[in-house]
Amino acid sequence: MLSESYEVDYWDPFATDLLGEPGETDDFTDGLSQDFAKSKWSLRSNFALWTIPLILSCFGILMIASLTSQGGSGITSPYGLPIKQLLFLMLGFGAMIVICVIPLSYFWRMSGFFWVCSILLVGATLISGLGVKVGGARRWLNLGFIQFQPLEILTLAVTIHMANRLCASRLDAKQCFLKMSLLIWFFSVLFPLFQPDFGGIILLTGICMSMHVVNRGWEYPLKAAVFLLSFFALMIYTADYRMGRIIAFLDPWNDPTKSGFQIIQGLVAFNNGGILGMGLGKGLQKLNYLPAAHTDYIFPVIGEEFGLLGTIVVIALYSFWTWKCYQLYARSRDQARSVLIWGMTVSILFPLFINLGGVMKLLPLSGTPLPFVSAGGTALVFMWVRVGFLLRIDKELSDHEARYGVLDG
Amino acid sequence: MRSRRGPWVVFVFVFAFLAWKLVEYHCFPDPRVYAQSQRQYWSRTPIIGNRGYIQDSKGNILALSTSVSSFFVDPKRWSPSSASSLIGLLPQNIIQKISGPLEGRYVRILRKSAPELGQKIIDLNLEGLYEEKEKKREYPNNALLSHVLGYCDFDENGQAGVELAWDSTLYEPPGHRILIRQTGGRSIAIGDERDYEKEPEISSVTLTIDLRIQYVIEKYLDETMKLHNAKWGAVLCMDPKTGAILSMASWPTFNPNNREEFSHPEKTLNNAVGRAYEPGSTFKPIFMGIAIEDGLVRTNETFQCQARLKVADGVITEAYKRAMGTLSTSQILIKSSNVGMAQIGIRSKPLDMYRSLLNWGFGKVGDIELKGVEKGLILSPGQWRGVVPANISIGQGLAVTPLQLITAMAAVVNGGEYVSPYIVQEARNSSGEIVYQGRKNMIRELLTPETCSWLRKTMRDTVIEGTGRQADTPFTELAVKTGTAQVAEKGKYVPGRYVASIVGFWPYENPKYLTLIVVGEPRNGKYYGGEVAGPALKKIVEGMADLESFDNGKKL
Repeated sequence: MLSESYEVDYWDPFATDLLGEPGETDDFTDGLSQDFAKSKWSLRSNFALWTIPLILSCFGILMIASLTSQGGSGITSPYGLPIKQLLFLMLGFGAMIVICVIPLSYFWRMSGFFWVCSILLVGATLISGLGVKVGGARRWLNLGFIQFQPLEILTLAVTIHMANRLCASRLDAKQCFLKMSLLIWFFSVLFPLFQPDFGGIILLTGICMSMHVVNRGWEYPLKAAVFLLSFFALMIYTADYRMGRIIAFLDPWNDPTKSGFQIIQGLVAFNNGGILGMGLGKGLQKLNYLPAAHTDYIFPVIGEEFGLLGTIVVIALYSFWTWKCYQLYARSRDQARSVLIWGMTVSILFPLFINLGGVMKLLPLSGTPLPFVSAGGTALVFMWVRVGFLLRIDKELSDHEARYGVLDG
Repeated sequence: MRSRRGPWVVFVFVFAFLAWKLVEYHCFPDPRVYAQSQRQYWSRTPIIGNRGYIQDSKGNILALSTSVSSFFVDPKRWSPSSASSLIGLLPQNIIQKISGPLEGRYVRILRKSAPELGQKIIDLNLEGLYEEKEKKREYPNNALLSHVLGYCDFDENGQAGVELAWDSTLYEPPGHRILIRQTGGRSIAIGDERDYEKEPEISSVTLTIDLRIQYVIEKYLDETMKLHNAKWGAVLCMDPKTGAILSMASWPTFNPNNREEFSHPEKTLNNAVGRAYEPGSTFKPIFMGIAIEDGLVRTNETFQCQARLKVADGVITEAYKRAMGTLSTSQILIKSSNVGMAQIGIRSKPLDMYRSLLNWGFGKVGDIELKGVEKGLILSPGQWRGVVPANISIGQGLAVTPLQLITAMAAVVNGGEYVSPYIVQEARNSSGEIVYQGRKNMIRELLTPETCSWLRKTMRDTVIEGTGRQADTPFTELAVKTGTAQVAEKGKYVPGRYVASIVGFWPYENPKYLTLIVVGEPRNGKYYGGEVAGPALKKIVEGMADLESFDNGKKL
């Protein structure tokens, strides 16, 4: 058990907050440590972590402006949407700064509370009067002064809570999976099931399971996957529009004007773009051919206007950012932060893959926006909150390294 | 526990896979995707051609096409409930039609609306109601020159007159316009909008007609027709030296802007070219000219003229039923003696005379650039028996069109040249190239100048002392020949049905204008050419003299 004892040597700032279970994994804790463990960390230290999302966000605003200035579907005022998006970006950036200055231990302590609260918020969407029904699903919550999708909060809260519980749990992999991970997953997806929000459930499932995997191994989630697949098959079977999407995914040419329309038009957009693209604002697909071109289908629009060059650059940015997250992960010497880094990363990457998979005919469509790029207020702000968490972890790691030095060779 | 790195490796594969798929979608697409992309944006919409315009010799526009709006509804987007907002703008039956369920994607509700009405409908901004641009043929001068201009059908195809005869020049085939199609069914034009708004070069036909002369002539023709309650009428004005038609009028008239009038053939018939009639005495100078050239008569002969002359199986009578006594050859024309002419007529050899008449353009379709030209009728030489040659000498027993008569008279006036009449001065195609130019086309010499000047002298004397005194005018030296022809029905001349006509040229010394007035079947008592058509000619000559003095005044 070399690795176990190896890890115990490290400082864990969360340990004091681990719900009255001190000492077992951590015998090195003192409350003073944070007072002198200061590094010269600033936003510049690991700037790629936030500049890449910023580039993507700005690019997104550019694309939204390009789309809406020529009157895509259902857009009336030419620059209303890009300006709104810019405001949300500023809000998100502000949220990132705020998260940056709050010690992680605070969220660690409050994770259970936040999780329960966010589940209740999701549940509130099912109450008529509070929940807003859009296109057959109750995903929006209307609090009078603001409208948002509480699922965004839930995915964030469940990431933190899952990390917390995984680290706190002393159970073996099987028991941990059955008694803890599966339970958190179940309560998280309970209300989205009734909204219904198929994409949200996939996302929550992905986050919960992958966090378990990264902490406790592949075995049980894989076993559960068999069960889960049959569960999803049932879900798909019960809703016609989901079935339609699956059929459209399997063969969009079966019905190119209706169920297969979106997928085909997405592919047409890529084809139109070629290698160098048609030029900003010159795309044809946004002329109502691509429904929701500024949200779900923004990636094909990029493909059309900037070609392979544009899409590869976007993919490269995401990959590079993922690489930076991995570097952070590799630097981390404690379970709690590692799992949290992983959780934050996948909760950004999973929507990315679901979106790209959908528009690239690799997955059934599920209506998930492209992180940072797509138009959409709540999603954008919460993506930036995740970046804030990653930066906070980076700062705390830097503080730690400043005090103890980089021990990892 | 060292952090697990395995899960992160998955991302490497995912990103690599995405990149690989992107290369595939961008560069090597599914052929069906490629085909979809090739066909879905572009739509070729026909744009109706811009039909050429017609103008007179002075550049006045006589016919042009303008843009008008038509409207249709797309039943897929149209909600019948909005039909109520169109009440008052559209006919009741159309409102009722579009208030109920409709089929298809295109239901036309209004074609070629008036601009104000069209704007009102556009302003309503109704869902599913669309505007369509079409062209409408307009004739700014309404009935003026309508018979020459003709008219078009709803799709801008010429149906009569110059519009029909010059359809191949004026008609512009519908073009195509490439549009970007939106899924909503709306289309937006690509390229520079101004490219489409710029008026392209359009074809044109320039007539030899002078609109002012036409106006004067139509005014007095109409007046004369109404005064004498005539059935039909025609006036032709020609430049006798070149054959250019300066004016061509027919009565009754129609308004080419009013499509309902097209169903009245008696209105739309161009009497000047499309009606053959027995010319009567206006034919005598022509016959006399032929007779002199053929040596049948000398200008210094005298003829004994009784009130009637029995010729074979028929009788030729003087118009005034009085004996005229001894007449010289020229007096036969001046006094328009039928008996005198008949004596010359019976000297003619049928075959020679028949050939001469063909040479003079009778019995053949004239080569004027119009459609609906009649060829008239001359009996074949085998039928020239008995009274026929005598009848023909006085302009009965043959049918000519006013155009044939004036063309023949032009030869008498211009010194013996038979010139082909023409009404189109210039035609340009839509590239601006001149595809046709009307100019003097001398076919053959018919008379010697001596015969011509003798005939002209007799016509001048007709104004001074003969049947044309009522046409005399102080404005110019006019020379005329009147004609009063009987109208035959089923082979017999019917009493009370006449065609009064007069042909005149002026100025006498140097003829610039040759005008023929034909008044068909005046029914108010008067019917002699001199008294029916004579005053009309006088007014026309004076009206045209006004125009000339106005022109001259402007030059000063």
